[in-house]
Amino acid sequence: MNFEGTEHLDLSPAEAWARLSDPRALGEALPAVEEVEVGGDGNFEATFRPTTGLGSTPMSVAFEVAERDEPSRLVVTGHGGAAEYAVRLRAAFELTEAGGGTDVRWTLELHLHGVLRSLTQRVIEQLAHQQVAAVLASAAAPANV
Amino acid sequence: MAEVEATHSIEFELNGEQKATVVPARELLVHFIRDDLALKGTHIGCDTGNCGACTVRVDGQLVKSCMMLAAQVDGCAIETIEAGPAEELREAFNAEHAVQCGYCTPGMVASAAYLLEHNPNPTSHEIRRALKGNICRCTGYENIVRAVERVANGKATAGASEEARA
Amino acid sequence: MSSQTETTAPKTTTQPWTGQDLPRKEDKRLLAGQGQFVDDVWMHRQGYAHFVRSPYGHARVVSVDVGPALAMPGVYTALTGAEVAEMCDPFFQIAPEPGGKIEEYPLAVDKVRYQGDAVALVLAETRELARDAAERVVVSYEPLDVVVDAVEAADPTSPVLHEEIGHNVAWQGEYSYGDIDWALENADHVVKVDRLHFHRFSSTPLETFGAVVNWDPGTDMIEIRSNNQMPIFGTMMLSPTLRAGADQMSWYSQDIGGGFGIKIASYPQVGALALLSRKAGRPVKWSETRSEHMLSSGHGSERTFLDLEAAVQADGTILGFRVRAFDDAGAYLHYEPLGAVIWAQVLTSCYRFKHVTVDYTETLTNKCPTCPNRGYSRLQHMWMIERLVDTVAQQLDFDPVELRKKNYVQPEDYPYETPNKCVYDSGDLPQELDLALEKLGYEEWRKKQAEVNAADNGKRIGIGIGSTLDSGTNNFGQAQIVNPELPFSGNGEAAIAKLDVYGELAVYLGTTPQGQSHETTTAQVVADILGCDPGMVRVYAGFNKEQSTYVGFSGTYASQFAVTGIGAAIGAAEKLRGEIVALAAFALQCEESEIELANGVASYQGDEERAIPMIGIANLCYSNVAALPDELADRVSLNCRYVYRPPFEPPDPVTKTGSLTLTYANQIHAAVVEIDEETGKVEILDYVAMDDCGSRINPGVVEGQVHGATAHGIGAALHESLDYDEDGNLLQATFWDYHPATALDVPRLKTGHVESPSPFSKNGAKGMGEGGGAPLGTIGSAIQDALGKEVLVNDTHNTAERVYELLEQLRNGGGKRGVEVTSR
Repeated sequence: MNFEGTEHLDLSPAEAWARLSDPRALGEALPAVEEVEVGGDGNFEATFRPTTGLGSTPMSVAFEVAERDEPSRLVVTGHGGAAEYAVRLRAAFELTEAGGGTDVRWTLELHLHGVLRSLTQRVIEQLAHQQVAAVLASAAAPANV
Repeated sequence: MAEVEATHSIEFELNGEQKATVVPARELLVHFIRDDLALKGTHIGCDTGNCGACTVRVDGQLVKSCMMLAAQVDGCAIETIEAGPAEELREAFNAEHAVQCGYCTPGMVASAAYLLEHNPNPTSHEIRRALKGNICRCTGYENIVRAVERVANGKATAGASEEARA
Repeated sequence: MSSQTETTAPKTTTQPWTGQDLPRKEDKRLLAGQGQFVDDVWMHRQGYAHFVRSPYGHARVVSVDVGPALAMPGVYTALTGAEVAEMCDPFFQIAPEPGGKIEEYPLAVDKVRYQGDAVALVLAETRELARDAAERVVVSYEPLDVVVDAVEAADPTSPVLHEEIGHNVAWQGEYSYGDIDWALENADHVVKVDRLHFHRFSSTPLETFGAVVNWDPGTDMIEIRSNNQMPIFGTMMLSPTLRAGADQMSWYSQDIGGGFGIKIASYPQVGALALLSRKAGRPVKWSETRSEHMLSSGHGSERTFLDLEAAVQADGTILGFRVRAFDDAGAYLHYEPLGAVIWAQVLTSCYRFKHVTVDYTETLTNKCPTCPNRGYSRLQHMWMIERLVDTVAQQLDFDPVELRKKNYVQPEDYPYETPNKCVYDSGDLPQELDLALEKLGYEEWRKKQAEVNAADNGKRIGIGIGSTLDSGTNNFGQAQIVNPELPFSGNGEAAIAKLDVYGELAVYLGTTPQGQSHETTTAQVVADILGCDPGMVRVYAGFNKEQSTYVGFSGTYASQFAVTGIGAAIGAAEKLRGEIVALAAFALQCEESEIELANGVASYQGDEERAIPMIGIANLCYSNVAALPDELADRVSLNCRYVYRPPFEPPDPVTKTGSLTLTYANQIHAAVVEIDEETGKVEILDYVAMDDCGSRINPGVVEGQVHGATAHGIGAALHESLDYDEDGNLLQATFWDYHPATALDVPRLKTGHVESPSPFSKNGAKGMGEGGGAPLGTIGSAIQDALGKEVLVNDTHNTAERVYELLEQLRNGGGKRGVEVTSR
């Protein structure tokens, strides 16, 4: 499944890029994140709970900051799964200056496997937009240590 | 040996009899009825509360017992098909050939009985609305609706005759 | 001294029980919640099993680690695909090469090929613990590309499911009769349809698969309590795979919560459970969840038809057609590719076409394996033909009623031999169509339709017709058309009729009813033969391999009970009658021809003073044997087994001709629909279902089957579909997303019948339990009628969304996409 959208962040492109390309910052911006483990080389593993219409499912995903094109382009890939589901994703972010802040144009290629896919099928588009917007907003927010 | 998991003590009425026991916190009511109480008439047809095969009465209300935890019936009165409810309706099911494989039947009887208690003279559409939460794959519903109508008409006729005689 | 069920109401001695609307014996226990379904069965020391299933549609299995599961308290053991491959041989394949090279085991070994394919099995103390343990099994997968379309799968560049074959075509063959090339070249009109699609759906029995299996460590016997509906077929599949004798496997079932063919396909799960039981040294209990059922039990056949061409004469005679059919078998061959020939039973459906060519390809895709589902393989073909007839009528401006009547097999044609030498036994299709239309109020509805459609108020009315056959009692020799090496032919069913120690009458069948009322209809037929009340005939409930009797084909499927099961019961009861009469003649000192059986007593010509009750007859055979002359004692046992064998010869695999089924029930449905132009929503305003199944043993039972089959068809036409996305995810894995027809979705059904007895069955009856899927053609036809000839209804599944798309096409100029008519 492919989704795309644009979010505006009240940060300069350089700041926005710095936050999004930092594995820990990005990891901690995930929805209802429970744990983030940063490896080397831009890799990190996160356990988080995206909420669907029917409750929330804990997901453990191994992320990698796959492409860095400072300060305007970033690609993050991820894969993870448990017994009954699996997820693979590729998110690309393009940052451009806009009105004193940054427009982040994002595309998301998402492969969901498992009954989770059928249960979310009517809401997945909305869900994808919500989750990406939440991650971007969270990444842009002042750090909460 | 299994880990100790959370349990609850419950007291409840089952088909008119007082009972007390301890149940695991996460046990579904339908499993409690079937496995612990050994009453096999309540069936399981899905895992999302859509099919109605597990329908029972709890404090007179229609409940899908797969959507309730056993722990939640503390202080309640449960009625299952084994109580032999709605004899006239069950006879009508037999007379109108409203049973084929029998798997949906106990849940269907519970829902139909509830309808007739609250709406003794339902229209055909009202009957279908009342039964839309009970899936049947064998009968196409036609004879089930006829069975409910048979009871409703029987009562309606009886009532009219009594009035006429009064 | 009988513990029989209550006697039924008294009747006059002249009126037979057969043909009466007798209320059912089964109902007593089912209405009391006292049925015995497989999840009601409990074995001492049992553990609960849960399968670990792949979320991927296609992937390599890199590793399976059950360690974390086994480390949990309360978990007994686990089984992996690698272990299973060591202990087992792959399942016997019905297909010749290439499909025959597929290696499938009871668990997936190095690859998973559909979402839900099982890789491991765990056993624990409780249901909940088994579920927890399954979640802890760590499986490492390497996802592979997925193919979820049959036509794409036939392309050699598509992702390959079974490397042993190297491509995804499991079977391919051409069926050709007459000369369609000549017909197309010379006909007055040729109507071409690019593509038709029969969608994937399932009857979804309310009770899912289940089993309690014990591979006894002491006796090595495998006790299988299950709801499988064809246990001897299951035995034939499992015995070589499990490396156990067929005699080691005992199958039992009593009540089954619906089957519709799907419960033929549970043998792989039963095999895995048997291995788990042997490993654990304890009984294993398993109940499939609904999600598992949707993902991994068995789906109905899905078929795409390309390049359909029909040759039509100016007077409306349809000479024949040519088409390429692509059947989607899913990831493994379960019972397929028998479907690749079974459709040929109804080669020309209700019609007299003479020239037919079907190029049939069976493909493998990353979807749940298909299996027989109510109307197996024939619904698909007959729907395509009905669409063809409807399209010819609409495009060439023929009246759809007259065109059908002209092309139907006519009453004087029976027994009618089709181009592939099947024999349609009896029927009166033109009369049945007239009756259907009369019951519908066709003329009044046409007037109403004209008013409504002219009124331009956002609604359109359409009226549709669907004609189908239910071919019953297969000749299993047709398997040789698919694979000439297969040692299968004919058909049969077995029964035992017995008088027990105190004169009790009992019948045992090899059938596995799932609601078809066998106990009642069998009792009616046997009661007539033995001169007693059906209440006095105990028909054993369910299947029991030790106690009942069986042949290779035993089970309940494929619309044959009324012919095979009842045929066996009749034969056994007649044998028993012969023995009772012989013993009575001896006891009463008269000729056998002077013995009358009535009300459970044998008498000399009806004389109450000179009579002997059944208890006396039994006594002579069981316990009071000294007086019996040798020649009599040698030939009576009061335990009479009979195998009914329908008269069949093996078909010719070279010409692909032969008698493939014994009886042909038929169905003609008519419906009125209303389409909302703003939303595309279809509402059924009126529905008539006519059925002709020959002599009806119990009219109420027949009508109940008609209702059920019609509801399944309506559900599929408007509400039910199994779709896969581009990643191989099943989008309808629960009853949230898969919408089985509810009481609000099925309209009031008007039914009627025609009775054309079959000359080929013992009792003139025809099997009819499946129906022909007529609602699919009928509703499609009605929608087509409402939309007109500028668009084409080309799919069996017509949701509001799809109808809306067709309406949009219309609003944008139509253009008759997908249909082409050329005329001389």
